[in-house]
Amino acid sequence: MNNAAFKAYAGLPRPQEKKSTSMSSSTNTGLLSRGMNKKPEKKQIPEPRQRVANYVAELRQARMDLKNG
Amino acid sequence: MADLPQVSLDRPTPGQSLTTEVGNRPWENPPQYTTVEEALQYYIPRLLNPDLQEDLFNVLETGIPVTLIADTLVQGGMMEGKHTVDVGILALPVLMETIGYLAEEQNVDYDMGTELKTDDTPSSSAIALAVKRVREQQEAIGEAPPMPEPTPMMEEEEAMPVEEESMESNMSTPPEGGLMSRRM
Repeated sequence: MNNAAFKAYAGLPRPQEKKSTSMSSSTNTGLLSRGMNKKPEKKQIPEPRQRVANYVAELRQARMDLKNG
Repeated sequence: MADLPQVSLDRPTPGQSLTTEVGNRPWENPPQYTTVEEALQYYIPRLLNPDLQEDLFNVLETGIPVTLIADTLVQGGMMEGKHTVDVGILALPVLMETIGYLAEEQNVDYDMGTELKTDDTPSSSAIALAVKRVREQQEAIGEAPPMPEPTPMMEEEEAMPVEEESMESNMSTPPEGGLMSRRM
C-alpha cells in the first residue's frame, strides 16, 4: 500500500504516559528536607510527532470506548 | 487478448511548473498555518460541519477507506497553500482518527484502511497468463507425435534400470574402511 496516510499512521511513536504530579504523603516537602526540589522542573514541549501521537491516542481511546459501548 | 497496461496521458508536461512566475502558485508562498495544531484547527471545524458530514458518511459507506479521504483532504490543503507537506503528513493520523470517531458516533460502517489486505482473487493479468500457459500446454499435447508401440529393444531398455538401481544401492552404502585402508 503506497498511501501517505497509512504510512504516517503506522509510523507513529508510542504516546507518552502522563506523569503523576501528586507527591506521596511520606515525602517531606519542608524547606530543610533532603527531598525538596531546588529548581522547579522546566515544562518540556514534546516534539510534533510525539504531540500527534498523544492526540491520536486520546482520539483512539474515545473511539474504542464508543465502539465497545 | 489480454488487456495491455494503459499509459496515462493526463499528466503535466515536463517543465510546466516553470511556465509561471515564481510565487503565483499557492504552494510557492509561505504557508498560512505553520504548526500541526493550527492545521488541525483549520480542518476539524470543517469535518464537524453537518453539510460536509453527510457527504463524508456517504463516501465512507461506499467503502472508501479513511486513509484515502484524509490523504485527499490534506493534499487539497497543501495545494491551497494552507500548510506545508510535512505539517500535512503530521496532521494525517489525527484527521483519520477524527473521521473514524465521527463515523463511529453516527454508527456508520467505515474502513480505516490501516490493515494490509491479502486479496485471494487473482488479478486480471495473472488470469491472462494462466490461460496462455494452459493453451500452450494444450497445443503441445495436441501437436506431440503419438507414442510408439513398445518394441523388443525397448523392452530390453526397460529391463536395464533394475541393474542401475542395484548399483546405486551399492554406492549408497558408505565404505567401511578409511581412504588409506587396504582392500579386502
